[in-house]
Amino acid sequence: MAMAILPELSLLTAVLAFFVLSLSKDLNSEQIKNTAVGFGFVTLFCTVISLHQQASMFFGSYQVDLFTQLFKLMIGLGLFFVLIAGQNLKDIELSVRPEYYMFFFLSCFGLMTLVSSVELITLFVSLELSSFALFLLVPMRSDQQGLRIQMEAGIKYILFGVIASGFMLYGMSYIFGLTGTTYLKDILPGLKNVASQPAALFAVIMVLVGFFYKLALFPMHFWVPDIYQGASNETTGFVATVPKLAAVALLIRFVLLVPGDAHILITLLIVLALCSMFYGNLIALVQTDVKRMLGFSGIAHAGFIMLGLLTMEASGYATAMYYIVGYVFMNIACFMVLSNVSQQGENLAIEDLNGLHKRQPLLALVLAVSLFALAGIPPFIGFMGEFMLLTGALRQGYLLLVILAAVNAGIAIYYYLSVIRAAYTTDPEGRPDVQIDGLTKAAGVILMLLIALMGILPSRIVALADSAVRAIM
Amino acid sequence: MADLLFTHSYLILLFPLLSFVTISLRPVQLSPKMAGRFAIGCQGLSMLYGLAVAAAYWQTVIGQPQLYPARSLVCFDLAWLNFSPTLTANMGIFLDPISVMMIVVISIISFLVNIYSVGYMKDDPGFARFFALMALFSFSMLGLVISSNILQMFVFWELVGMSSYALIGFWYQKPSAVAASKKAFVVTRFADTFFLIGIIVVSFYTQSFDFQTLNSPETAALLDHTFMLGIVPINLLTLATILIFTGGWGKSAMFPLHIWLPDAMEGPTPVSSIIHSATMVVAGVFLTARMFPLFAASEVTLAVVQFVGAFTALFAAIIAITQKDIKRILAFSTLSQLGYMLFSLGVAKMVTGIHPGAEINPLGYSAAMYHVFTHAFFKCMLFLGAGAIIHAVHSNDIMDMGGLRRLMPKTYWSLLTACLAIGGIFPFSGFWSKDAILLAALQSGHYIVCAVGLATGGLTAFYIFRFFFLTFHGRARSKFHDVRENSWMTFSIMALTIPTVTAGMLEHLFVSEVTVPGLAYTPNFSHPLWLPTLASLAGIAGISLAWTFYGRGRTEAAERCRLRIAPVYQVIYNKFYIDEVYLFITHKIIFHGIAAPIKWLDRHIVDGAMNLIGEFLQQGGKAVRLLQNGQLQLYLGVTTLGFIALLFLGR
Repeated sequence: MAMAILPELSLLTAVLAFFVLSLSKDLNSEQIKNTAVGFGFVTLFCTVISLHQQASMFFGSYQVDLFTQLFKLMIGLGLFFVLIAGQNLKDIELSVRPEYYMFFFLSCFGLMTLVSSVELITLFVSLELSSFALFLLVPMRSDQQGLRIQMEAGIKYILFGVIASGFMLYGMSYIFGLTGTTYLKDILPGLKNVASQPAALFAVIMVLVGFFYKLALFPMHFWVPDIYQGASNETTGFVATVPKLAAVALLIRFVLLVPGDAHILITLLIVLALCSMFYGNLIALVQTDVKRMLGFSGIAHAGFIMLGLLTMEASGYATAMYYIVGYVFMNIACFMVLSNVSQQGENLAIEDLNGLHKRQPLLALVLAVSLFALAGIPPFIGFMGEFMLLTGALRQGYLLLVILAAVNAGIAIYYYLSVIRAAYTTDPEGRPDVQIDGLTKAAGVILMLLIALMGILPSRIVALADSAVRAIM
Repeated sequence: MADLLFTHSYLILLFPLLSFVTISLRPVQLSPKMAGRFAIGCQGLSMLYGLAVAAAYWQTVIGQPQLYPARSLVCFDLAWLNFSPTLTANMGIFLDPISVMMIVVISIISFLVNIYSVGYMKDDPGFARFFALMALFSFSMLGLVISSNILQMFVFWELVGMSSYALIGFWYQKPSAVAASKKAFVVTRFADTFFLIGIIVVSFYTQSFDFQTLNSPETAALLDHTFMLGIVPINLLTLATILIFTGGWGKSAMFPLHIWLPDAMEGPTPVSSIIHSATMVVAGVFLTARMFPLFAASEVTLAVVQFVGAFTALFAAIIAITQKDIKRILAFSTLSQLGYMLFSLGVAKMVTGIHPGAEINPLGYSAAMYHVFTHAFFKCMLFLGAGAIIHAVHSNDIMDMGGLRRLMPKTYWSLLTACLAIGGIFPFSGFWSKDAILLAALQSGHYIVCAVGLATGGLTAFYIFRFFFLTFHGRARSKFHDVRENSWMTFSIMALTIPTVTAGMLEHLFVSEVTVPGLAYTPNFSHPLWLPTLASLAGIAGISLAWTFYGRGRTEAAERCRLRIAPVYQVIYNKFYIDEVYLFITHKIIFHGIAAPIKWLDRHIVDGAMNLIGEFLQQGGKAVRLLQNGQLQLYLGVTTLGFIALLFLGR
């Protein structure tokens, strides 16, 4: 029993530990950092050993199976790398660091319970738990320029989150009204009975909106660039990656609920996917701030993930899982570079990366590998994910969609290349060298290996994801 | 013995990979000198192994036609990806006449260019990095040619593109080199997008990535149906093959995607010699040959290949006449020769009714592959020679050179053989391969293309000897200091004269053994004597004309002639302003026309509203008023309304 929720327990312990730490007057940044990374590692370890657990708990509202545990493993991995990537917290004042980590782990805790929730109320509570903790991380950035952009970003993030929750609650109320239950396993047959009513589909789409927001899909993406820019590099690295894993998990759960004829939903997903890709890629072309650029690129990638969901097939969902985990690794790698290159935690323009291959060769390589992967260059994971999503969508006969998506992948190369160009083909021009510690080095090498090897040998991972998806279908 | 060689044929790839990993990650401290030696050693081992595999292939596969009727062999096969129960991709090594030929070419040239680079890159701060990247390139290029399926080929295809990108921009201190590398990558990547779509479409219908399956008649029959896109009827086979060919179109830099290749000359000269003339740019030709049976099944595709090739052959030769930069002359010459190879593949499709009962003339295929082979050596040597000259006189402009014959005698005599070869003079290698190409065009009934080939031959002889006379003959037109031949460099240049002079002997081998897979072949190599005579005359005419204009290093006659046709000359010299057209489209239309307005909207409408809020925040504590400000509601309202609109759209 406790074995099944070991990762959650570990995170909860971390939250409590940081709460206690936050009471202490005499703070030591090394100690805080090591505690955080330590808890990250323990959590990762817990997710690994509880991978094959099966359980149904808390009156059937909390499910533990391969699907949930696989997502928890991915969250655990993401969490661990994010902690290492952003271990220095340059732009967070020492006095709030324990609180920062407390909310950080609380948010992760929310995400983990979210993927396990199979009951609407539990699910909503988990979602809000993860979101509100996240909202609080944004304004914790110290106010260097006196512009308080972090405050602005925080407020915007909250308001958007609230709107998304509003949509979602509204949809949930419909679902409850139509089926009289809040358990997902009863909702599916319940909705089938009322499949002819537009309200059934409407309800599911409304709920999906809440997760579109987390995934930053058009038109729920407006918060992305401002929050990416306003939050500290480390926070953005977290916001941009780990929550998206849970969003994909829940999108899969809810797409499975669509009753009867799904073609309206599919059309909607196609439109959203294309809008996201074109919007994200075209604006990213002209960005100068690296974080903003990554934000827009993330919108485009969210569009790509829809290609897997709209196949309405286990293999499509499995590919979406493969793609999102690849996306998370690639992005963590990028943010690891950003948070280390940034001297006092300031935002970086593309030219701040100039001459990186001389200032810190390993980070330059990490950056190049992850950007090439994001651009979909083989043999990296980005290419293989993209390729599988495209073949999967074509198998369902969406030729035009596939062509437009491939064209987007072609556009994207341009802006990724301009960052690589800055890192590799310019001189530092007096920019200082970047020092990194052994842990960061090791994490960088591991991330590169993951990005390359998961791209070259994807079969096992996709097969695992496939059996996980089949477990909940 | 042969089996053992085949089983471990992955070693051909492994040596360069080892070299790349070792030099770039430096687990042990290597001095630059040691890194160079190590790279050469690995490259040498790869070459020896490649040659051994080629010999074993010759003995086992070609020697026993009853055992290997298709002349091909998959000697390494590994399950790789499972897309669905019916669609899987393997990782394999596929040996057939063209892949073995390419292994030989690539491994020999890589080895020689690596030796050359020791001299050329001496004292360069990026010496070790250079050898690491060259090893990465060799690895990817060898992987490309031995791929047993199209997905595997695509992976290596992009790796080749990446190493080319890194090597063009090798001297990143030069802004022009950086711009060129980006241009090369973006243009080829643009073409590859279509290639990828083609792969997806073909694999979807055929449920296979494997070349042997894709090239079977069943695949062609399966794909050969027409559907309507709106009111336009589209043949799926034609669409798919053209999409795939587009990848080769970009990689082989055919018009109008040729713009990246001349700029790519900003890279170090050894890079230009191996990547941008001898091997990587022929990947497009190789792809067309690899997929030839499928391409040939379509009515239109080979005609497109033929037209694009013939046009580029002539177009680039005309531009080459006017260029002054030594490497750009050779770059346009490469374009022109690649055009030859492609139209040769194109003319393998016979004009209907010229030979009743035959549709495919296998000579076109063999001739194209033969020209790939001969061209690789003599063009590589021309580039290495140009590199030696640039290294010696520190200038790229042929107008600054002249009189180098006495200063660089070894280079002079070696380059003379290469110039005669590319000029199509008997008995040098280029004569034979061009002869085979022209003969194929004639046999298949493509008389116009044959005439274009002849004319281009004359132009080729003219521009290459213009380059030759202006560099080596006459008196020096500027002051040179300390011109010396470097022995590392001259070794490679002189070694390349052997194939340049003798490859003509291989003509019958290519015609009889390097043939279209799955086609019952009837060798028909009877010549009308007037064809080689005419070709030779065109070549000699070109050389004579070059001698009258530029012999003994004079330029006055040419200058007078240039002034007389100044406007036309300007247009040609500026490469028909194709680059400017691209710049207009990408910069004016896409950047300023589409992306910038969207960004403006984002910055000013969306952000403007946000900045306003920021202002208020700065004044402090007026959060309540902020919420009633109206702007944010608008902002959120857009989201809500947009979503509702999409809901309706979804219906």
